[in-house]
Order: sequence, then C-alpha cells, then structure tokens
Amino acid sequence: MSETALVHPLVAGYLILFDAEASVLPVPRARELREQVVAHIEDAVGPDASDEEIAAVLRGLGSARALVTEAVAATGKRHWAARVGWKGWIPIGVLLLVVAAVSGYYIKLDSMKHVAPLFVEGLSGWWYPPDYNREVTTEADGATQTTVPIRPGHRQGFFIQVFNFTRMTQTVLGSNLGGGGPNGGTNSQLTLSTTDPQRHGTEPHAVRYAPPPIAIPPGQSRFLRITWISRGCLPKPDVSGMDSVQLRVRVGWITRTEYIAFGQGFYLGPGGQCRI
Amino acid sequence: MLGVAEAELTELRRGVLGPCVLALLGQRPRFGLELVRDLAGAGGLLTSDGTVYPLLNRLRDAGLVTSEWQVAEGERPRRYYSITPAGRASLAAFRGEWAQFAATVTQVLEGAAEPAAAAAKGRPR
Repeated sequence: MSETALVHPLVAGYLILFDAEASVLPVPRARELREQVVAHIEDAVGPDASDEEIAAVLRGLGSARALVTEAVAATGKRHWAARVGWKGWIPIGVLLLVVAAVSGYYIKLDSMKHVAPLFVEGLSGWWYPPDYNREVTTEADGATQTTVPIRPGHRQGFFIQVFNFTRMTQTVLGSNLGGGGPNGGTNSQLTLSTTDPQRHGTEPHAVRYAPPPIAIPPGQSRFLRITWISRGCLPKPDVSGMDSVQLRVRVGWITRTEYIAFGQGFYLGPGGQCRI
Repeated sequence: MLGVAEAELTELRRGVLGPCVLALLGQRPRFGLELVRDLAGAGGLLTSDGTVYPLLNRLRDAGLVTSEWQVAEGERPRRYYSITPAGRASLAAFRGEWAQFAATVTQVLEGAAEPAAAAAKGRPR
C-alpha cells in the first residue's frame, strides 16, 4: 500500500467529491462505503503509481455520483434529510415557522407579563391650594401620611409622578376608582400629564392633563392626578383617604392590572366646614 | 444517455451480479479488490468496479454475506467477505432457476430473430 495514495491530489479530489455526494446516504452507510472505496484505492494503487495509473483506478471505480447512486439503488437507504426531498421540506419549514412564531409569541407574552409595573417616584402633593396650604404630614411606623381638611361639595385631589423604568411602553387605560373617592366622594377623575415632566418642566400645574388612555414610553414619567368631589363630614379622629390605586395598563399585547402604591397616604380629616 | 440495449444490459448485469458475487465467495472468502478483479476478469459483468461495494453491503444486510477484518503478516488489515449458509441456499436456488431462465431467454431471442432475418432476405433491392 502507498502511504501517500490518499493524499495524492487525484485521490483527495475524488474523496472530496465522494463525501459531497454521499451526504444523501445515512451516515453509517456513507462511512462504510467510504471505507470500502479507500481500501480499494489503497490496494489498487502501488507505492510508485503514476498519475495515469491512479487516474485509471479512479476511472475504474466509477464516478462518485454513480457510486452513491448505486448505493441508494442497492440498499434503498438515503439520509433522512435527502429522503424527505424539497417537497417534504416545505410543510416541515412551514411547521417550524409556525412553532417558532407560537413559541416567540408565548415567550414575548411571558416577558410582557413580567415587565415591572409603573413606579412612583419624584414629585407628589395635594393639587388645590386650599388643601396643600393646610396639609399636615405625620409619620407612624415608617409610613408617611398627609392629611387635609375635608371640604364637602368641593373638588379635592392630589398628584403623584409615575415612571416607566421598563423597555416597553405602558399605556394607562383606566383605574379601579369607578367614579368614587374617599369618604363617599363622587365624580372622581383620573388624568395624566400628556408630556414627560423630566423633559417639559417639573411644575405639575403648568402641563396639560388628559384622561386615559395615556402612553408612557420607556424611561419616561407622567404626573398622575386623582381628584373627586368630597361629600359628608368626618368626626374627629376619623380620616379617609388613599395610599394606592389599581390601574389597568396595556403592556405590548396584554392588558393587566398594576397595583400602584403611592409611598404615602393622601387623607381627608375633619374640616372647618363641617359642624359635627 | 444509454441506448435501450445498453440500459437493459446494465439492468441485467445488476440482476445477475449478486449471484455471481455469491458464487465467487462460495469458492473462498475474498477482500474487496480481489473480488472486483475476479469479476472483471470474467468479462462483461461490471459496469464499474465501484458497483461491487454497494452490492456487498446489500448482500450483507440480507444476511447472505458476512465480513471480517483479517491481518496478514506484512500487509495492511483487510476486510474479507464470505458467504453465509443463507447465501449458499440463495445461490443454490438461483442456480436451479438460471439454467431454465437462460434457455428460455435464448429460445425467445432466437425465435424472434428468425422472422426478422427472413423478412430481410426477401426484401427487394
């Protein structure tokens, strides 16, 4: 046997062609046939074989394509991928696309579900001067509470600043207020600033407000204002107020309820207009 | 593209090559190139040397042939093919059919040639 037979350019070229053609065969079958072809060449090519002799041996073997065609005809076994054929690959491709799309949808859906909710930070306070001029701030057990006198028949309310720290736009669609307010207040309204205070001024009374839906793009914030018409009176030491609100928020394709804790309580207490 | 006769001969060779391989292996085990050379020496049986190897694999899959590596002193390891009992039974069955088959084919071919020859002889020049 010639140690150099397999590295002879003619033989190497033949084996490259053979490997390419044999890709349609099952791997063990292709490997076995290659081993037989290599053994044939090594046995047939002497140590001092000329290029012509080597070429004659390869010619005698037949073309790599004919050899593989013969193998397919003799055993009827082809690599599964070749057996499927291009017509078979179309439905497989479509199926894979559908699976990928459905998987992508659920992965995206799952990521939407786990996007962080809106976060309260920055500015906050009572909205109307008669309230913020008379607010009393108390702290107990680590919780902050601001209390203002109730003004029956008047609109009272507060604002907070909410941030969207996520990578997805969050659109506020509504709240759980249902028109009500603290202590039986009515005609409650939830509005949001239409611009980002970080970019268009941090004075809450200088920006425009609108009812939902309001979109908050990633990295931006909005003032969220809640007002209502107060009713009734509160005897000392009763108070009534809010320290959170539930918002309906659309994130991507899903709509969910976000529990927004204010970080402080906005409370109504006994007022001078009430004679109890 | 192969002519009709050549294509039919190729098919015929493919059909009889298996029994011929079994017959040679029935004499003694042979390695690949040895088998190829013996078949080529018989003349007209092989379209190319490479066709023997897929055939050997098919015969082995069918349990008619088996193979094993043998190492002779001073030579590289070679895979030797030998006939199995099932292969011998298959070869015996083919031999029993072949004589009758070949005779029938010959008879039909010669009979079909006669009218054509007679027609050629009687054709005006």
